[in-house]
Amino acid sequence: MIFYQLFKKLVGKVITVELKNDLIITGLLEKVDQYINLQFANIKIFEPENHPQFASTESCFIRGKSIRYVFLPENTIDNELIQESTKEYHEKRKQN
Amino acid sequence: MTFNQPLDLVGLCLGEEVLVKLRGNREVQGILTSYDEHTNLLITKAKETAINVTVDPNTNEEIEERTTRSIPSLFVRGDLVIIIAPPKVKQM
Repeated sequence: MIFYQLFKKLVGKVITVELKNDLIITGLLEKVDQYINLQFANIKIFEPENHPQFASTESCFIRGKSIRYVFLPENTIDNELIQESTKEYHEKRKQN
Repeated sequence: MTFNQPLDLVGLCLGEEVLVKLRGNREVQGILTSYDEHTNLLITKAKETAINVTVDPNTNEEIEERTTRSIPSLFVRGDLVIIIAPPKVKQM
């Protein structure tokens, strides 16, 4: 759940995703769910010459499982806060 | 901190520099900021290295080619993670 909360905070921001098939997509994050499936608007493909099939694609749904990395903008998250939340999250998990 | 499961060792590294080995001959080194039970990771001040090993046709030696990228804040999907460890310690 902790990364679901993190991604909910990123909705409305422009982020870049690298998929397992090496495709790199930058776009406005519209929606996220518990599986970290992502919905984007106004996407831009990195090296579009190599992927002509997406030339006219403006929005997309990305299955969470197909993601390798998400490159987050530097200042969007408070690292100290996230570390604390992570500790609490795992303590709660152990109690259950 | 009580240690019941292996994931607790990952919790020890929170806020510390870690070296993460990933599937697909990749490594990420940086500060472990967050993790979950799937080993999804949030690494800040990350350096991602792609390792390309080729064999020299003449000498039959293995040549390692390393390409590095710097990423200030990187989310890594858990299903790629092989090892999470403190970074390499210099040989004494």
